[in-house]
Amino acid sequence: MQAADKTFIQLLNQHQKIIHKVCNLYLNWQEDKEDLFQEITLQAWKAYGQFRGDAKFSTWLYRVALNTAITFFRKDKKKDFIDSVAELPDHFHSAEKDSIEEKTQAMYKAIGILSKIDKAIVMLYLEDYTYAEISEIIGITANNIAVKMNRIKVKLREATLKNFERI
Amino acid sequence: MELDDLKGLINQKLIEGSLDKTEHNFANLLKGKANTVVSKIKKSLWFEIVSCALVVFLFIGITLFSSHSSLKIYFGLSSTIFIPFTFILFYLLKKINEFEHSVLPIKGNLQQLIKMLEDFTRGYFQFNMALLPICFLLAFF
Repeated sequence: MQAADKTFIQLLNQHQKIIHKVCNLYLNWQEDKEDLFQEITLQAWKAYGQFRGDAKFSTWLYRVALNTAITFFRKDKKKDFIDSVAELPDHFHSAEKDSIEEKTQAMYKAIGILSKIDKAIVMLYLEDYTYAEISEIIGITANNIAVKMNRIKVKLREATLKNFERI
Repeated sequence: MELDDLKGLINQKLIEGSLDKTEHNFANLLKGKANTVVSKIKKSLWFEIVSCALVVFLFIGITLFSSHSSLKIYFGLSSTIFIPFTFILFYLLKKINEFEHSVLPIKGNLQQLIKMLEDFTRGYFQFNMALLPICFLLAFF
């Protein structure tokens, strides 16, 4: 194995949580997640030669991972009809209704129904990236990101309340 | 119930149940084959290039060795169309390879991908449209 290969694998190993997060956010089935994980790894490897270190490796990896996840297609199309929300675990008891965990679950479900691009924005926002940094990854202006983020927050608030009432 | 209040917990939830991969696992993953839209187009292009090359050789052979003038004209003309088409396919392949090794922002990436798919389908349409009048005219000979 060459030195560049080793460095790349070490970097990927250190930042693997990014790939796990993207896989968990975009897909529900373990098998699909594994496929996407491999796809992201391969895409990152192909593009690694162009990585000059201008940006942080984590930012660069987010870009690769999100680009791959957004254009990823599942091998088993039969799963497509299943609503992503329906697949999320729902194992709470009524006694815990006010628990913070339940609120998190409701919010998580709400994120699950966002569009692919909105999911990407939320993911970067959760990572505490600034609007300027998010705009670099998404490719739209920081102002646009701010506007989109406000709309997403409203959407999430409404959807979370609905999900929370259902639990 | 705001997103900001649950930031940490949502972040935690996103890595829940994730198996920690080792460097050895990553090394194995790199040996796999890609299954993206781009890799599918690439496979398709390689198939087309090889097919075109074979067809060109076959057509040139028929043009050179056939004793019928109508066959010579038909296959000669067809091969002159297939040759530039092969170069167009190579050009598309080059662009796809460049695209595959670049990391654009998400919007730019999608725009590029759509443009490539459009170029790909337009290329086929133009090629078919170029063949039609030739076939039609040669039908009179």
